[in-house]
Amino acid sequence: MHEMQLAEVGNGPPALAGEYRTVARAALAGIVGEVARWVPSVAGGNNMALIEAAYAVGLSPVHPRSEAGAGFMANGIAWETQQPTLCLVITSVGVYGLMQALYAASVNRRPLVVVSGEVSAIGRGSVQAGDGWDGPSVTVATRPFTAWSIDASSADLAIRGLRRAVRIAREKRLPVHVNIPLKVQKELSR
Amino acid sequence: MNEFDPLLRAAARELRAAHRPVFLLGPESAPVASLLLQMAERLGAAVFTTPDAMSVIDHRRSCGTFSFGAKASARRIMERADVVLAISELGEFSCRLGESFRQQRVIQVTESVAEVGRNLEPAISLVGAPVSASVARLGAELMRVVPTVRKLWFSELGREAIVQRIPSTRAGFIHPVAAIAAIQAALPEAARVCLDVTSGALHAYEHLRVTTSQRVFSSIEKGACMAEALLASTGIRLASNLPTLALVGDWGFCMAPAELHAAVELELDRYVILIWANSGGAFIAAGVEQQGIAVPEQTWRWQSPPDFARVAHGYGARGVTVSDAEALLHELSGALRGSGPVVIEAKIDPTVAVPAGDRFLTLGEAHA
Repeated sequence: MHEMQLAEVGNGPPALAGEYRTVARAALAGIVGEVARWVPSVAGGNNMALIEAAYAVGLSPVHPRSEAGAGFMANGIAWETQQPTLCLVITSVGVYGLMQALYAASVNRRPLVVVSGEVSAIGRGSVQAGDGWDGPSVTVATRPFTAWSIDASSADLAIRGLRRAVRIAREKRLPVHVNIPLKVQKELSR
Repeated sequence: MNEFDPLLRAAARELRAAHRPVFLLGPESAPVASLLLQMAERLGAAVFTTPDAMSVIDHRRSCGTFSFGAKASARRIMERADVVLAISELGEFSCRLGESFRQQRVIQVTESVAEVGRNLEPAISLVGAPVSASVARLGAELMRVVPTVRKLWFSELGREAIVQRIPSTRAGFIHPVAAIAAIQAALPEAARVCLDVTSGALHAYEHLRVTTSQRVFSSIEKGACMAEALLASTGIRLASNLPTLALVGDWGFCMAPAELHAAVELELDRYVILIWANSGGAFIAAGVEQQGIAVPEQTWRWQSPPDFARVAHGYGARGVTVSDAEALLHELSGALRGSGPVVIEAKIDPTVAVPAGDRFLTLGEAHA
């Protein structure tokens, strides 16, 4: 299953990457002026479209060696800039890897915006599923540490939800979490 | 007129009536730090910062950190204070579970009601509005009711027994106070200092003097974990584009060394990881001792340390080991101004007592 997901990421023709507008790109384009430039990102099968989009909209992804590293690097960026700071990881193990950093952001009032890539669609199943079907829901797990934590299960929710999440993080100076299935990330946006 | 106004006026009256006022500034004070200093000057109040807010005001205007890392003069002043204006969430270490301020009337300014009453019930709490707005209104009221500048009440108490010389140390090791002095001397005018959970940070809270341009990252007040500041420091270096020093313990570095590789590939110049190497676990050892708990030494101390310089080389960074303060100053000064990243392992004398790592002691017992 994991190999299948990785294969799916490569299904889109690379030559077209800059020519069509995915939901991932539309979602990040909507907030690019409201977040810190640097985006700690740990790549995995379920968030490649988000990372591709981050590069495409002019953000500067950086690539720590672990989710804990990414989460705490984002803490540092948010502390320095006072801006909402994106952190891109995958669902389940990726999110759980940065929980300590999310806790630190919560108690120290740092506006992290965690965006996790969920498996392709609700209910498809995977050892990495964090949607609540095949194991714990990652958004339920992050809820105590965040001002807002949602599963964005449609294009509309992903685009509007990320914008709302950034604004909540900025206003409340607390972390937020948006979990977006890979299928939604890769849909074409109108 | 709203519910906030009577509380605000009551707070101003408390401060006006205070004979020995103290201000305690947390990181949330930063946007209104200059106003708070004006208010303190008007009242003749002593000003402290919480350990995570060391650089919110210049060290020349600060009586030090409180309570974690408080030097002797800071404790003397606080023990005699009658009213404390705390612009702070009053976390575990600043208020020592409420123990710190049993004798004082506390006025707490904070944003959320959830931050009030965690460890103590303040006499007055100004909550609900942004901290900067509350302070601005309190400042205006205070300037009205206290029209002239009052004399400083704590001048005599604030005099430290000045240490003319760094205490002697064992050959092959650096005295902790000398190491902090070297760090202070090496810091560029504008820089970032990231203090991890390490006995080195405890010395820094007590002895390091910084300006507002030398911002200090420390989460010790609120749930800090070992390696947090180390990991956050790469983000701070990137976002600030300023020379950045991460002070981490030897054990703490072992928790997250791999991010050094990310720093190497990001070609982070003017970025230094300073490993406070004193045989591992000194921070924990202090807590073990204070609690009178008997556990095997391997609980917190290792038999032989890693070769940190070689670890650095392995990740592609420059790594050096220093065992005297002059060498530390030389290496640190160069690394904070040169290419990098650089890892400096500083051999710290493990026989010197860890200061103020006194979370398990009452304030009276602490730092005896």
